[in-house]
Amino acid sequence: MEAPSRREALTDEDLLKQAAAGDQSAFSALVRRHEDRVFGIAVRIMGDRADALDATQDTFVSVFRQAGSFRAEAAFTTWLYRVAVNACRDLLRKRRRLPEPTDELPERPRPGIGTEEVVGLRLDLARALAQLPDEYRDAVLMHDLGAIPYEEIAQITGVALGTVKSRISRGRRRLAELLEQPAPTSASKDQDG
Amino acid sequence: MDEAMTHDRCSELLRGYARGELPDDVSDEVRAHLATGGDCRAEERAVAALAVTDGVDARPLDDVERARLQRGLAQELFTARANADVAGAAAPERRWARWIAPAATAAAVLAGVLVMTLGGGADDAAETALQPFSRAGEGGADAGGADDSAAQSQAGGQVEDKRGRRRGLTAATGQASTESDFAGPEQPAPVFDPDGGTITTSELSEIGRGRLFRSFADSYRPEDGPGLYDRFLEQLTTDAVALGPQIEACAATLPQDGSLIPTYATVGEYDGRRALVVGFVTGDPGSRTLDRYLMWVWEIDVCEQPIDTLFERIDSG
Repeated sequence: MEAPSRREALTDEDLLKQAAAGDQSAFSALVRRHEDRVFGIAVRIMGDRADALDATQDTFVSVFRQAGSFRAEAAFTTWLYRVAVNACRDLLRKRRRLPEPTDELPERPRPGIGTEEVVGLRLDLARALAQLPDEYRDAVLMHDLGAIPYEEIAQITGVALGTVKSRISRGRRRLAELLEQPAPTSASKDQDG
Repeated sequence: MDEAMTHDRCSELLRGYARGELPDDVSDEVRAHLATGGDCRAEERAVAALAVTDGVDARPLDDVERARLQRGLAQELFTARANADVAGAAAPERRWARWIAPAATAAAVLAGVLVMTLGGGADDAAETALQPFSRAGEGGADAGGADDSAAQSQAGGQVEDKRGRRRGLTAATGQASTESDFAGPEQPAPVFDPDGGTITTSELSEIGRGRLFRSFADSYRPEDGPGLYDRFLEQLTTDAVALGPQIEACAATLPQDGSLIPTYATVGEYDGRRALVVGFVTGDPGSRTLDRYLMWVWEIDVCEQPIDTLFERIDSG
């Protein structure tokens, strides 16, 4: 097991490889590195901090279980965001199907996710985000959910500013198209992509 | 005015436009551009849909949430795997919303950390089928084993012996509980080691799987946790003297649902940093046994983020 300071110098992909080999500390380091960003996406999609914490946990559980199959064809964060959006989508789907019993948390109002209609809107959005091409989803999540300026996204992703603008613009248009499509009636159409 | 509003510029302004953040004149320009139709209208629909994500409490994870996430992951991933290895058991379900009690209480601690009282989440069916529990003096581990050469030769080896002998587990026993019918003179009490020396992960793992933690696992039940937590934590903080507040502050970042029984603490050098270690025995909600240990390593005076955590079976290895 590597000491934390040495792990800090490792790339996400290296840590994931070590985690896939059974190194729990490497996985913990990976979680610590990305938990805030995943939570930031999840809390906006879920609308509730407790649900966002669940989605964050589900995200990292999926990451751990799929660590061995990660092929590094995309950046780790791109894959992570995809898994996070899928986790939110799945959790929202369960929330809509199985609403929380009202007597379970009587003193804990959940204004962000209080109505079936709002849950439906969030689920539609999560579903559409899950279907976006990776590079569009990354850009839209960072800018429109995360309020990260174009220039900073260009720095983070290492692509040209014009490309960032183009991805956000195209991503939004594709998102609008996906949102206008009827929701799939079969769970098989909604599998993780 | 509108002729200066290109598609690119409109696209760039849409987020602020949808949130009413633009100056009036710029907002008018965007509106006029949108009225001409085209791609920006489609973008506007997406941005409007994304507005459902606004207005949420999007502060970063706080200390308590971060600790819950780490512990939840440890339990869900590594407990599930261990359970599956041992008994083919299904993965434990962790849902924070169920854990958070309606009457969550907040208390200021040294570092201003929020302490939340968590609900239990125990499995009723499992509770009705509790098996006889091995207690100290009834065939379980010998809590007074500092002089027990047989116990010293068991797994845990030198580190276990080093800790057990140096601190004298026998001397740490005898903290009889008035709340628990399991309390008695043979029952183990938590150990504070004032000089952990150079601490390594493997050494902590050996301690976690060693005699002290085994004696706790053999002597207490999961349901003893709520009754023991405060008393044992107080004992550790008392023994630790000046470091007591640090132990208390860092422990306050962990779930307070009674599932953790304070067992061990030490200070030393971990990866070049002065570090505090606090160890607990624990088990899954609804579990019949305390068969896991949790070891948290914090840099001294920094409770926000542990340097490392260990969560393993006590009898493994």
